Amino acid sequence: MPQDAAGGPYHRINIDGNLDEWAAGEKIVNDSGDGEVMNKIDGLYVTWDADNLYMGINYKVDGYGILLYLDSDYGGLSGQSDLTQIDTWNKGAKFSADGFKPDFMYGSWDGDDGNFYEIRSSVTASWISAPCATDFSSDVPGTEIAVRWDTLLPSGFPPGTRIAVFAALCDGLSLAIDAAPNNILVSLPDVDTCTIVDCDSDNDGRPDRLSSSDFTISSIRMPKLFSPNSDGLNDSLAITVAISQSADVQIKAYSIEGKKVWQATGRLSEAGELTVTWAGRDFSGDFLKNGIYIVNIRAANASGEEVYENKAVAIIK
Amino acid sequence: MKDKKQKIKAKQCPKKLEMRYSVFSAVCALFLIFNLSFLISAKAFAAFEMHPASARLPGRGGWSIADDSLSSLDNSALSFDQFNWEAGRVNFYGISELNGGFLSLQIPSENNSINFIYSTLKFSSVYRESIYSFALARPMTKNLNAGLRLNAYQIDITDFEDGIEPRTLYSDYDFALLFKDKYFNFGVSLQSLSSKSVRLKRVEESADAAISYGVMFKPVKGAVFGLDYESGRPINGGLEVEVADALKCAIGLRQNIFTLGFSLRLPRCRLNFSALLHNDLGETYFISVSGI
Repeated sequence: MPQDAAGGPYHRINIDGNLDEWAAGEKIVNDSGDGEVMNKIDGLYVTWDADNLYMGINYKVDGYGILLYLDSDYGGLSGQSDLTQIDTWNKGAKFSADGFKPDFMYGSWDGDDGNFYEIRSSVTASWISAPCATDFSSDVPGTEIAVRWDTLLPSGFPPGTRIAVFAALCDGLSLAIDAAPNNILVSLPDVDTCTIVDCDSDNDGRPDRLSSSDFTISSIRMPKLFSPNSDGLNDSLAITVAISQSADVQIKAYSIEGKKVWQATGRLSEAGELTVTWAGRDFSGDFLKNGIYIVNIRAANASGEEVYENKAVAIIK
Repeated sequence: MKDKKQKIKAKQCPKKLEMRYSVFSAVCALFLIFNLSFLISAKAFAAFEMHPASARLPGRGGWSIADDSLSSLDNSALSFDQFNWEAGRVNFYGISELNGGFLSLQIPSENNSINFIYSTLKFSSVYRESIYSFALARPMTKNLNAGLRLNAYQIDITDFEDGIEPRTLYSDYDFALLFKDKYFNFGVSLQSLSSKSVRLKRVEESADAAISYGVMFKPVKGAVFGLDYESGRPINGGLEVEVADALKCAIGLRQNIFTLGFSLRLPRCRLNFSALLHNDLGETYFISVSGI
């Protein structure tokens, strides 16, 4: 398994099928249409941390399935280019893009969470454990998959590792309807393209770190209303912040006029999530009045880079 | 000679009387307001504090208690010489789901000024506050205006748990005085009078009244400087200068916020813009179009 000498992973994705935490730069294929268009793929996402490769597919289907093919050593010898005889998820796929020989695949039917498989030969694929989740109800609907690097590359992370991916919808018989990226000359289920991602551009035998400019607040999850009135229902506000690097985090609440009314601090020793709870009280412990308040989340990384984001919340007592 | 002196004295007498009456009425009003201020505490709702009523006011720090022309929820005694309208939008702190809007009409009549304001603040689809305000300003003396405004408030909340009142309506009234002079104005506004307790779910909150004082200086033509003070709050202040015939620029300060604004005269209308720059929260933008 690749180790990170600096001690921190890069961008950890919460596998829940909601792709709202992916950064724009992690969208490696931007297909036509959008995620709200039924039976279309909008895009493919790839990112990683020290432990896992994360893949996301932004799409929605009704009565169809989706397959994602992954070549974990693009340009290498392992993998299969003809899956017309495979015993699992056989959708007649044949790959003719230079160097693209998938050795892993993911399959999901009609919005289920799906499964991840290792393609052991042209006729055999076996299930392997990898967190997968699909959610079509979110703002950015689709599927998220996390696979450990040591599952993909059991003999170690070779310098200059490149991966390649391709995804397509399928009906009961074959790949059909839409693909990402789109084929160049041939029609599904034949495939003549893929998207290549360079995971080790500095050839140091470790997945590349994200640059400091990738320091972002990936997502903030909190309800839009809460009612701090001690009736046991929504009495406090849980603020969950996902950050792409280790960071010191300050969470403050302001009245809409800009007066600070509450503050909390936290620290993330690595990329991930931090949850802080606000009871709807001010600094002196008194319940705040009804109205709109602004929650200001500010994170600073080790190199002093600072990012912030504001969210609104309504207090209704 | 004696006759001439008596004639002059007779001519001066009404003016003197008028001035004395004016000063007396102003002193009485201020005495009343001073005493009332001890009975008045903070308002009920946090959000109504930032309800937009004009895009020019925020740019100069938000002071408006002593202004004599701008559309405002702050002083019902403001009087107008010309018909004016203003419609605008506001986005708070870069939060795409938190926006406001307003429409203001200023209608002068023979003896009175009438002001109607609709102002709304909306957070996503879950929470919305609206104010419908109708004000009547009347000159009491040459320098003193009195104003009365009726406000109707509406709060709409999505039904997120049992017991929520999806729509709450209540009302109150304001009373204000505005003393206008050549070089300065002084205003006092008693707001949210007659308010009752309001309950959005379980807890009743008292919608207490508030008193605000403001002063506006007009040292030279085309420049105004003002300060507003409300009990328990920091002072708001700012400056507006007519840079060119068609352009007014403003700067100001309010709690944790530095403000900038401009108002550009275009054919048949004005374009007004203000930016509020908060230390931590970032920018709030107001933009509007007005008649004059």
